[in-house]
Amino acid sequence: MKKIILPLTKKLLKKNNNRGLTEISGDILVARDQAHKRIFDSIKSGLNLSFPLQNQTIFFAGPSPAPPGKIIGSIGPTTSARMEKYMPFMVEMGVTGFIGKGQLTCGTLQKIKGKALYFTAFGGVAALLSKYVVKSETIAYSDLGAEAVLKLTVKNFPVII
Amino acid sequence: MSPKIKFRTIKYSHIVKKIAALCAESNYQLDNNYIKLINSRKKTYCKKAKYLAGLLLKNNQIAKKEKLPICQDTGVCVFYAEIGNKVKLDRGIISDAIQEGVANGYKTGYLRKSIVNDPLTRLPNTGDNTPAFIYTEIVLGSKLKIWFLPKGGGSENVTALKFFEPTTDETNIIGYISDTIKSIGSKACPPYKLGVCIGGPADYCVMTSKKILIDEFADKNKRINLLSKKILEKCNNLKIGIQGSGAGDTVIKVNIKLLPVHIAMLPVSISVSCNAVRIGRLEL
Repeated sequence: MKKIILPLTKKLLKKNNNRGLTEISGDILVARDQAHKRIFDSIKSGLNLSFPLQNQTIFFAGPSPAPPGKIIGSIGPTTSARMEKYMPFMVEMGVTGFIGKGQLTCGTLQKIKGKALYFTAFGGVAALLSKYVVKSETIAYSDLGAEAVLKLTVKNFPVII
Repeated sequence: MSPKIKFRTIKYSHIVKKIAALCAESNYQLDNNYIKLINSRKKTYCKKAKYLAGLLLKNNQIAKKEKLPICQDTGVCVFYAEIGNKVKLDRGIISDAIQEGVANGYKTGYLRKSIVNDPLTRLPNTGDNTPAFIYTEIVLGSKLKIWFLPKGGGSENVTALKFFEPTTDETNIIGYISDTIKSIGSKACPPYKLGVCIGGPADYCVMTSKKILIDEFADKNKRINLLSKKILEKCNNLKIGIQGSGAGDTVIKVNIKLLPVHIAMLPVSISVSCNAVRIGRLEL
């Protein structure tokens, strides 16, 4: 099995553009609909984010709450198409990877080509995927509840390039 | 004069407790009918599809054992209640008891709270996944039957409705269903289970297409089985496959309901269930 250790640097991007099953390890940001809107609006209005986007991989997701004694609840990808309009902007801001589900339009793939990778994760197996998360922390927008931005550390998290 | 009805009393607090438990249990496991279906279809799959179907079953085992939701999206809560005409509560009304049960169940069951109060400002999150959306029907008898469908946003977003001309051929309807699935692709987590309602006024058509994702509400007869098979075959020719892999089924089940319709109308609605089929059933 191919393995990728994050962060996805420019060097790693060039090395890993072959399609197929891959396991990724390292830190990822979790952000979905409203978090994307806030990040976009904040930067456009000249505000600084409290977390860096450079070389980050964004996982389009919103986990269920962690029961006592667990690192995280169930977690899996949400539909990428809804975040697509923000993806080229995020890449401009330094994001080099996205994890989601479903296909993207050719236009978006073309725009991010060479600058970021798009991974799809398995949908509907969120209890299983939670086992690959070794650390979870809310880092921004906690008022959004299920849509807050999290920083996760994952180990051998299965995705498809 | 008709004879006096002898009522059966159900405690409000009992319904709250049962609904809370139903919310949690239904989210921790796949629907039994669906598990049977996956197991029987799996025998016909290639190696890749067997592996992917196996992941769904493995996920189900982990979820059940560790009391984790099978999918992080524990949905918008849709309920269908059949209230016997001889049922009364010791206090309050059934829909309030369901709302209270959902609020308790989603908190104590560590299920995701996915409902925001204002669809435009997107805030605030209601904090307990209420309101649930409840359909009630009065039926004859002294039982209270409740079905719970936690419906994920990804699959709910691809619900379709089209108004055909009444002279339209069945083949065109099958083509429309297959085109719809093609445009959805893999974004709603295939293999899909479809609810297809044909007929009725528009709102009933959409509502029924979702309700029949619960097998017992779908039509079952020779003609329907044949139509269902045709839709299934046409959709599976798309070869989207499990998780969009191209392997295994794209659509694993098609439930159909025909409703009487106005002479000027032929509406068709499609509701889609992702591969995390969760259905709760309660009889009191």
